[in-house]
Amino acid sequence: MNSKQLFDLLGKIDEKYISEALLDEPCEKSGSAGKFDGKIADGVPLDKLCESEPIKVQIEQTTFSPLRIIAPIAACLALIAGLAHFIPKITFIGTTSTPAASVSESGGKINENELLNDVKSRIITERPDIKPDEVRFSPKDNACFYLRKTSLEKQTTYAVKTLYIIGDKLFESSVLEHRALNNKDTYFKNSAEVSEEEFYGELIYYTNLLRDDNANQSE
Amino acid sequence: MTDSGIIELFQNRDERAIAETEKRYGKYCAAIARNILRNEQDTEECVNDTYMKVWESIPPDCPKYFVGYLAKVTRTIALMRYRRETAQKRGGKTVPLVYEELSEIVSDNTTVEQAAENAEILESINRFLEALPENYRKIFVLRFVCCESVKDIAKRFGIKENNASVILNRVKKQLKKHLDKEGYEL
Repeated sequence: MNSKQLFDLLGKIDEKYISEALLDEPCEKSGSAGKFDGKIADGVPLDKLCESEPIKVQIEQTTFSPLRIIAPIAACLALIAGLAHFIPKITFIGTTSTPAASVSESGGKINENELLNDVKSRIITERPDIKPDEVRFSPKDNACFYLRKTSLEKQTTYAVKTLYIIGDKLFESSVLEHRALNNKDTYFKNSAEVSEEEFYGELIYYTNLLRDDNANQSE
Repeated sequence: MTDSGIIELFQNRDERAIAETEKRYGKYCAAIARNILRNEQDTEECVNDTYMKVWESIPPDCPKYFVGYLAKVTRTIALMRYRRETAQKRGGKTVPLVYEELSEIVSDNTTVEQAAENAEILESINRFLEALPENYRKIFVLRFVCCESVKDIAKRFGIKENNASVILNRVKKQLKKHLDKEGYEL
């Protein structure tokens, strides 16, 4: 298949997605989270969360040259250096099985049960709209999720949001995903949908977005 | 007038259907045609051809998402026109550019088997789109279906062009990964 054929094929996608994009309205069956408004949870803007410099990593595709080797290494170093700005501020939710995701702000390891209990207790006070039993832990993803049961035609679906802690507050991913699942427990045992890389990447991405917006406003 | 009202007019062969379609969705059709053709006269003719085609196809068609249906018809007619009339000479470089953007995730091997797989690939793409976050899906569709410029997409979403490009690159890579996972080789 060449790019022209793929382009033609994309013109035949389900009309609901085109309708959704053109009218800027959620399509009937999608797991939409509404228009992104620069806030990730409960009306808290991202600029209140992170104040370090934005991380911008760009890897260009080139013909063979030493840059192809050097550029990714430089990008990784930049990313690691950038993440160092976040690490002191973020308590990533995780288990003792993956040290990178399980070290708390104070450097201690987080127990899965303690973490779940912590998240649930925060939910009771900070997010009364979420029931504590809607929160699940995914050992494979090393993250907590908040589930909201929805219906999608005849299928049972769940809206999935990643929950995480920044500073002393609880936040959730701004990206809602719908999963058509017959059994949520099975899903979380087998899930590999949200990788650690994506988990970190999303945070960095939204932080940069907000900084860009702030920069625009100040201009 | 609602979409169902307009479609009912089409089904009753009431010519007010065209006027109502023009009134409600004319600007959407024109935008898609303009994105592809980059020529006002061609755009106007393309939109008129779209209304005619829709008049001929409803009934028997009864689209559930009328604007999506109109957009697909407009896109098809605009692309046919673009290819037929060598629109590139008139400065319309949008479409080749969009092709180029997709070229990094496809090979150029076209086989009969590949063509036969297209319907299945389309279904797979629909599943992929369903699972995407809403804004990612919208940005991808606006770029690769409606041929909207990255600049306009960024403006529409209130983000920087660079951010829109990052999202598009991310979704393209995810699409390739998804299709690879489902056993379709691009």
